[in-house]
Parts: sequence; structure tokens; C-alpha cells
Amino acid sequence: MHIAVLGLNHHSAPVELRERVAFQEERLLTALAAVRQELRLPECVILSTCNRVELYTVIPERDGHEARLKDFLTRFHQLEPESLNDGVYWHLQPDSVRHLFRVAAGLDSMVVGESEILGQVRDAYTRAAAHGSVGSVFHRLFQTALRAGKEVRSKTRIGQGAVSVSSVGVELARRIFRDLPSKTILVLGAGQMSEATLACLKGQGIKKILVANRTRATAMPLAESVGGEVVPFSGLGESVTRADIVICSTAADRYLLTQPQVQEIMTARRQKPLFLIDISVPRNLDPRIGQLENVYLYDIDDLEGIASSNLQMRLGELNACSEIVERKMNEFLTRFNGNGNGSA
Amino acid sequence: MIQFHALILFASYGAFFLALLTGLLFLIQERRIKRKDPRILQAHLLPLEFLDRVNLYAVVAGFTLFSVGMLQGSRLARVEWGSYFNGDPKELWSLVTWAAYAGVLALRLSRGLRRGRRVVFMSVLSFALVLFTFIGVNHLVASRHAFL
Repeated sequence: MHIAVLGLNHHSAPVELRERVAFQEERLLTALAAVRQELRLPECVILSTCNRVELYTVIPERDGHEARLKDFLTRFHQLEPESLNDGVYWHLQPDSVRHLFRVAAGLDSMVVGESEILGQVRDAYTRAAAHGSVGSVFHRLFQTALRAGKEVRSKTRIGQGAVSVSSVGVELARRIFRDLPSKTILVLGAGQMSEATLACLKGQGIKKILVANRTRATAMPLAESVGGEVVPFSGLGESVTRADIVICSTAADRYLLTQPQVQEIMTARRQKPLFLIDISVPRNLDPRIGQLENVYLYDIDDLEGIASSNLQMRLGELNACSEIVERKMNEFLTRFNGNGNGSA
Repeated sequence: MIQFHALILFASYGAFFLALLTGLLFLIQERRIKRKDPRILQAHLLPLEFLDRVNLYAVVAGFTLFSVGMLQGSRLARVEWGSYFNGDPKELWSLVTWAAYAGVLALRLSRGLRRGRRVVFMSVLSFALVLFTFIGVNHLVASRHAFL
């Protein structure tokens, strides 16, 4: 018996193809059943996420199954016959085992070291197991892969440090404020990045959200979508006094807040810390505001600088992670081959 | 009675030491956040607001205990040496230390310096006086508190 994987991911295939091959939740079980019945493969796990679609199978012999599985995918998703000629990879053990372990550890992810994939691998495995598509080989394989993923995360710094602008904003807020859910956010202007940062902060449990925009009609939909309150753009000082975190993403041609204004605001707010995130380009908050005590001002370059530094740190951990993956893989394969598997 | 005097002052030194530790952590982390250190998120640190609060509570606790210890000491001095205040170097430097921490707390009540780097820095600096009063003074000048 051999462990094989057929798949496509963000490295190998464009999103246009990935989205066509992705398995919707309701069709996943149908696909698992089809692999077992039509292809007569005893064990199968399908991992389908935004960035990858992978079919892990146990095959009786090394040859012939790549074409059968490709043909199955083409038929199942009603694709043109040649659409899977490029962008699809096929690995046999040990490469297939190494690939799964690297995926579970987040080493193959678009954002290296992200932790969501470990949960996605676990879900794919438990769903297939509940459906009866997992036998002794895949029980052991996936449980070892999940353990490898956890070990990589706990023994290296691959998952540490935020690597996106919005998550850097959140992590900084967590280093400034004690009780983040009790804080108030003020969003100035609207934009994709400010909304992403707001969503991340909201994910931390923050409920009090104020939205200000030059045109009230623009502020309303955002305020409604996040359960926030629209505040007037003209009385900005009062709103900043109420807020602890300000996300500014406007297209103003001047500074919306200046140093003397914020100095007054800080006295009114009894020197409580104020975290300002200026995502606007050109900047809409006077950079000198950052010199004030208890005020922390970050612009887009500052946030990107931290994200890039964290990414470099993660990349520096790749060798240590690969060593863990190789060790875990060898442990698994020694046992697997010792049971008389893996031979042609 | 003298044991109580010593014990309560030791407790106050402990609280001042906690203020020193949280103060130093605050100053280091605050500086890194202000300077936008690209590696700021690669270390696990306590939130600034938390460190600032603990620093304040530790100074309040230390100051209260220190005040009680001093009052207790002055009563002992009256019994043992005949006067509440005898001009002993330990007594003098204790007063200076007490005044320094009273100053820190006064700043905490002011509008402009209620929180943050400067007032925390003052609490860190004040610990030098604690060290001098507790240890240094005995080495430099003769004191009736030479038993400590």
C-alpha cells in the first residue's frame, strides 16, 4: 500500500482553477463516497480550503492512480478534460507524507506559520473518519501529522508575530491596553484596510465602535455592519476623547488631528493611553502627535515594517521546522514500512 | 514592637521593589513601542496599561506601609531615645524616601502626569532612595539603626 496525494494549491494553480475544484461542505461526503465506491480506494481524506484542494488516498500500487484521480476530479466538478493538465501535483510517499506534515505545520501556507490550517486538517480528517473513509493507515498518518504540526508550533517561533497590517495593529493594541474588550474604537473614513483592522479588533471582543465620515451616508452602512455608532465628523475632538483606539483612513488633504489638539484631548481623557493607526496615504494625522506621552501613533509604513520583520523571523525558523517534520515523517514511515507497507 | 516596625518596613520595601520591577518593564516596553521597534511583537510582554496600574498600586501599598512603619518607629524612638525624631541619618533619609514617594503619588493625582513614562520613571528613581535608606546609610554614616 502507498500513501498518495493529488492536489493543487496557491503555489501551483490560480484561484480561478482552485475555486472550481474546491469541495463545498455538502458535496464533500458525496466525493468521499465516490472515491471509495467508484475508484475502490479504501482510505481517502479530502482537504479543501481557500488555498488548497488535496485528495489523500491509500493506493494499492504506485502506477495508474494519478490519471484515475484526475479523471475523477474532472468528472466530479464537470471541468474540461485538459483543465487539470497543469497546476496539479501528485506525490507518493515519502513525498506525500512530507507534504501533509508540512501542510499541517503551516509551512506550505500562503502566510507561513498560520495556525488555521492545523484546524482545517483536523476537520478534514475527522469528517472523513466519521464517514468511514479512514482506516488504520490514515488514522495513524493524520494523528502523527497533527502532532507534528503542534510540535512545530510549540518548539519554534514559526507562528509568532503578526504578519499582516491589520493583525499587527491588533497585537500592538494588546501590548498597550489591559482589557481590550472594554475599549472603544473610532474609525475615521472607510476603506478596505481600515475595515480589516476593525474586523480584527472586533474579533478581540471590542463592542464599542464609533464611525465618523465626512459624509454621514457613507458612515451609516459601516456602522450598521459592525453594530457601531455614527458620530459627527466635525466634532472629532470629542469622539477621540471617548475612544482608545483610532483607525484613520481618510482622503483628507490636511491633518485631521494636530499635536496641540491631541494634547488637549489627552488632558480631557486624564492621560489614558491613546493608540492611533493612520492608514491614510498621505497621512492624515500629524506625525508629531506620536511625541506626546501616552500616545502611540503608527502609520502604514510602521505597521508594514513590523509585519515584514515578523515574516523574516518566521522564515528564519523554516530549517528548524523542517527538521521536526523530517523526524516525525521518518518515525511514521519506519513504523508504516515495518508493517509491510510501502513496497511496490 | 521593634519586630513589627521592622516587618512592616520590610513589607513596604517589597511593595516598592514591585513598583521598581513593573516600572522598569513599563519603561522598556514603552520605549520599544514609541520607537516602533520592528521586533516589538516577537516578545511576550505585559500590556503597558497593566504595568502602569500595578506600578501605581505597588507605590500606594508601599507608601502606606512605609508611613505606618515610620509612625511606629517614631513612637519607639520616643520610648527608647526620648524623642519622636532624633536626627538620626536613617530617620532623615527615611523622610526623604517618604517625600519622594509622596511626590510620585502627588504627580499621579495631577492632570498632566496621571499616567505614563515620567511618573513611572519617578517611581523607579525613588527606589534608589529605598536602597540607600535601607543599606547605604549604615555604611556611610554612624546610625542608631546600625543593628540593621
